Amino acid sequence: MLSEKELSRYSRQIVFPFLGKKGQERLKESKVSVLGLGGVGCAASLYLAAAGVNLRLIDRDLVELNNLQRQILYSEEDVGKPKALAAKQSLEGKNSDIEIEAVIEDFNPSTAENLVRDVDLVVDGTDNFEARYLLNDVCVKQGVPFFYGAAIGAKGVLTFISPGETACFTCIFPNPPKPGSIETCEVAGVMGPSPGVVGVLEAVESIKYLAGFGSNLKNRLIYLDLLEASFDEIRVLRNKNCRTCVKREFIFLERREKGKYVTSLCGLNAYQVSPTINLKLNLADFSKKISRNPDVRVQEASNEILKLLFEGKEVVVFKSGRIIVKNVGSEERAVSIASRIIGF
Amino acid sequence: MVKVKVFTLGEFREIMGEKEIEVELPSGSDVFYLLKAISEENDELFKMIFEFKEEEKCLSSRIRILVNGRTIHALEGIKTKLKEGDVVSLIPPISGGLHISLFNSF
Repeated sequence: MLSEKELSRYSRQIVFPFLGKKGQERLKESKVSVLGLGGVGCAASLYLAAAGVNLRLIDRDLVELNNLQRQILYSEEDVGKPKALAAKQSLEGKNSDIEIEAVIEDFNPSTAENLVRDVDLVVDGTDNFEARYLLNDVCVKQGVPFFYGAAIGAKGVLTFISPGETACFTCIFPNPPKPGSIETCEVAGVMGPSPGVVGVLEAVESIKYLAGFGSNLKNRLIYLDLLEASFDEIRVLRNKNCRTCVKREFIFLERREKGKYVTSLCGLNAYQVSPTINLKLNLADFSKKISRNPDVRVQEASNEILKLLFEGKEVVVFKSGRIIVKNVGSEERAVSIASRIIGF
Repeated sequence: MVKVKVFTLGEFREIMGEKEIEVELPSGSDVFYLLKAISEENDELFKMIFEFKEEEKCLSSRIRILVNGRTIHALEGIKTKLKEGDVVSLIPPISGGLHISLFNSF
């Protein structure tokens, strides 16, 4: 049942004939996990909260000044706070009628199942491929639908995955890319509103799905090129031999070994993050690209070693892809920084 | 002869200058034949599509190919035969925060 206040708050969307009172009641009963509270996750959760959807907000990172250009839930005073808490606080100010759960947690094989449990839908706001294959594994295993959405530069992509019904992430992209062969936002840059567009579309599609109206993005992948102001759609279909949604082999969820190893370097207050294979990076080229990022100061660059100051942290990148991050307080922070420099 | 459509996204569109092109191929042609045909006179496109491993020409890790919406992995790979009206989508690597693995080694 909707309260008087809720009837008033949501009156404009209740009047919208496709949603109505029934749709609003459905939104009130629903809960969405927003996995990753970057540019995409902020925009998505803002509209979901405003529309009256209960949320679980998940992120392991802290707000940084360079996030504010695109991560619209945060203000200057949030810098240094955990994103999940800052986002919850920001959204509570906009809608106190919904339940918001903040989870400061790394999404990995041991936490994944709990993070998508008891929700109707997951919205993808992650920033790396490993997390997306893991998200696909856990959602297919538990039968939870999710949106896959991502943005970089002025480009974005979005599709809806309903396990057993639509193509899953593995059907569309059977294998992960080689580590290190992908650029990160830190290297390639991102136009602030690009992830916002993707996040807002995720919110639109979530509201339609949860309230039960409109057609949706099943088996359709939307590709945005905002530089050209173009929206394209391609059809994506199930792979009848898919290892994930047909054979139900959840290799990302079940594997013990991730694509990287982390070691604490004694006495140095440093962590070493190593990919499991030798990446043979072209450091000269890499250095040129990353030096365009104003957060990064290249201190020394050769074919074998690249020394950077990244957000004030000393970072050493080796040709093999091994990265040492100095003066970080935790393994998670080191991995987070290393992953943003090299797309593990 | 059969006519197929090639639908491009991202960098492929930038290089080819077209969203969609129609290509006429001998009957029985496969995806590999199509890729060679469209990149024959376009060096930049050729480099986006192919790479050489031990002097053997193979697909670059910078391309993903769907035929009528299905990854060619689910079909016969680059030997997938094309028929009249097929739509072949060429998808580039979009990277970064995106990390979307739209590309991979075959």
